[in-house]
Amino acid sequence: MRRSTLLVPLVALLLVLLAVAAYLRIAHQSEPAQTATTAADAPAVGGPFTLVAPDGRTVTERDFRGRWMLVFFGYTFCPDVCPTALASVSLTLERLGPLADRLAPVFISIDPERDTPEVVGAYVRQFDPRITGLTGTPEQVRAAAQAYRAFFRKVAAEDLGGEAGDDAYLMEHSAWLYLMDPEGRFVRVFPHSVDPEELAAGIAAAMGETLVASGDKAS
Amino acid sequence: MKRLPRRTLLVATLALGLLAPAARAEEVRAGDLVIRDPWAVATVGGQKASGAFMVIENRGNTPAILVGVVSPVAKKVQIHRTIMKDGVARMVPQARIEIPPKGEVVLKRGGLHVMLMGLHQPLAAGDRIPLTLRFAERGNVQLEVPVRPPFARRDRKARGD
Repeated sequence: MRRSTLLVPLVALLLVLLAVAAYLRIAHQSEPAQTATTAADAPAVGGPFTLVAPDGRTVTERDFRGRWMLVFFGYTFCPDVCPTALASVSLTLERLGPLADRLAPVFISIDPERDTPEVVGAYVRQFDPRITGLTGTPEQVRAAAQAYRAFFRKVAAEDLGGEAGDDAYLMEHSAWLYLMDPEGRFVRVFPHSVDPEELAAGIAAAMGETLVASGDKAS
Repeated sequence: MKRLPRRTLLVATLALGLLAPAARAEEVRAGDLVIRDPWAVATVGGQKASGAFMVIENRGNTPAILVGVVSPVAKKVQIHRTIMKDGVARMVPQARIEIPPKGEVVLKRGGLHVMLMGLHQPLAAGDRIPLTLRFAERGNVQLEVPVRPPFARRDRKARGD
């Protein structure tokens, strides 16, 4: 066989191999993204909880049935992540306009030791009176966080260079906003730093509604 | 650069302070350091902690090292960095913050903040609280930090409120 005739099928074979390699690479790259979506879609996020409202009333997830829920875990000692998330929720409620009536934003304290019902209530009210602030006994709070697969951990004062037993401890906590549908089923999460416009659009889309383009908001 | 006489600057600063509306572009100069827009977060309902934010500019030719912050309003004051990992928020105390020469460090949400822990009294919007920044070699910078609500609605801000 002459060299030139051998070259053509060899080049062709090489091209096919390259194409297959490229395809496999793309398929592989898109895999983590798909896994992430599936993880967020996985069931068993959310579920029953029993907590305490600012007025001392006991509330459960059933009290929110019929409305969409936007759940966030945090604590009032938190100067950064929690105000950012609550500010974003407040602007989102404004952006949603009348659709906001169908949404119940819920802030759950994972620091019941310091966050009494009154403290949580006063704290969330500064952002928007439509946000419900909940706390409870340490057991109630732990159960609620577990239902949402939310992580939290106390960082003791002595680990921050303070004295043991000092109440100036901190909490580490999951910082997702969980969107639940009117039947209490998990829909999706948003990061705490989400842009209000994006959050409003995401919630409206989940409701099957479209937001009117922002621009000049008449108010 | 031509320097203005100190007295003119002082008078101008005082005049500006009187004229400028509250919470507008506050600035404190100390040597080659400029502290801009400091503010502390108002507390509600018996909250025992708060945060303070600002921009620290170093106009000098050597790095400025912030080694601590003190304030009579709180039992403990630290500099914290917020770190997000796997969706979990953590605050990590910082022993020192370096402000590079001719550079600045911004203390803002999602990054660094001054953490006021164990407040002796509530912080109300409109109050001013003393805060002392302690720098290595450069000494202390005294601030009177205005207290503001944790968040001003964007539309309210746009109207210049």
